[in-house]
Amino acid sequence: MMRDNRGVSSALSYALIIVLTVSLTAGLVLGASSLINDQREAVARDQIDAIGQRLSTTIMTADRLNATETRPKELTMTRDFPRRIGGVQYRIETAKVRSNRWRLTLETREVDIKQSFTIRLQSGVELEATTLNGGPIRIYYDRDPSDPALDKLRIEHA
Amino acid sequence: MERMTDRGQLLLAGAFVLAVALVGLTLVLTSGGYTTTLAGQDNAVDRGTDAITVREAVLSDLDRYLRRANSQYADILSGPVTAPHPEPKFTNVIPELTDGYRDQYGRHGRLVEVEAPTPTKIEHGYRVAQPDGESFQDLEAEESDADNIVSLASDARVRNVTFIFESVPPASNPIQIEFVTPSSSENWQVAVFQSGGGWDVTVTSTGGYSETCTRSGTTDDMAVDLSAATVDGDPCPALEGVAPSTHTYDVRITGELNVDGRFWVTVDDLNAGKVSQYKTYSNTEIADVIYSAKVPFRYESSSVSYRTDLRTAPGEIR
Repeated sequence: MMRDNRGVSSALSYALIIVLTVSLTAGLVLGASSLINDQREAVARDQIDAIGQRLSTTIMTADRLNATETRPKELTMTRDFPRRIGGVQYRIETAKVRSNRWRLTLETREVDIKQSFTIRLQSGVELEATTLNGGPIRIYYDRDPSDPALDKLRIEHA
Repeated sequence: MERMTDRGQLLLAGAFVLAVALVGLTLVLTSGGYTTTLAGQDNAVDRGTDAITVREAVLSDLDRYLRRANSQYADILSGPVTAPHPEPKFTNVIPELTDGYRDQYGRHGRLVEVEAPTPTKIEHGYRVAQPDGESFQDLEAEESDADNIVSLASDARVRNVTFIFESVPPASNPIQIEFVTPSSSENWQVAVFQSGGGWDVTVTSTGGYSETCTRSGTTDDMAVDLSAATVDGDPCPALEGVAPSTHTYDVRITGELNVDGRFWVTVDDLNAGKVSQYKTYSNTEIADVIYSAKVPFRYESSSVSYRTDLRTAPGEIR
């Protein structure tokens, strides 16, 4: 009489199941972590792009609001950007390139993403060169009490 | 029974693998969804462009009300100036505007306000007009010098500049309206003359600008509105280029002055007491008007806080 479980013990059966499960899970985790890392970087890149576009648009909008014949008595724009993108912190930097052009750079160190945006200001006002961590941002028009030519658009944490 | 147990363990292991996969997939999709949300939630109010749109709409309203306040002088071209000064008429309408803006823009957390300008923020000016179709030569004849120049304004700014020509000289000797800057850094010239079957308006500047508009027909009067950049109400892109490079300038008529026509121009009172902004001639009439006004404006939203003075000077050449 033949048995269909001949040569198979319960212990071996359990061991095989455990090995199989561990192998499958490890393969899935390794594959998924690679996929998730790729996706995380892509998401971070998209987020940096979206934040950079929004921030540069906001700065240029502030410039357009400033471009009236009389200086603004008050101009403050607040944008609620995330503190982290793709789970990591990022940094915002502004630097003057030439007369009316500035470069806005957003970068993360951990994921190694860096994107730059060009800002063109038409009203003649200066944009303060600054570096700050990502998060809610306030852009405001800083009136110089003595000389309107020294007025500046400044960026700080909200 | 043993086989059934083995199957249950395999199912358990499979479920575990699936659970891990689902957790990973959820993480990825959530991050992607957040990016989409971040990009999609940005509206005009958040971006601040709404503030620009509202400001331009308010400024357009103020321009219209300033024109209306000054418009009573459109009827006094053939008689003495007896109308009251338009300042109260203009300032009294501001509170009504504010009420309207509160209703109109009071959504999405917005607040839009305008305040009546204080007297110091209202710049007075003069509407200088030649209401009847007299020759420009008559004006020149009243000048003490014989330089063939009719001076309309000196060291001033002008707006609402309109000429109606009843006749036009040949191209060889056109009538010209000039905007002369003190340093002569960039002077502008609007020449009007006959062309083949029509009348031309040519705009040139010492900076190299040169554009022409042509109006067909030579029988009717030709209205050249330098402020609106139109000829007989039709757009004349050439006139849009007129932009003196300095804050103030002289406005004068030169060339062939033996041309009948009417004109009106609003001259500012910026340098009152220092120079005579406009010249009076027997054919011209002068009326006190508002040249410009600075109206305090306030815009508040969830992301923008903005206060400034809106300067209204409709049709200013600058």
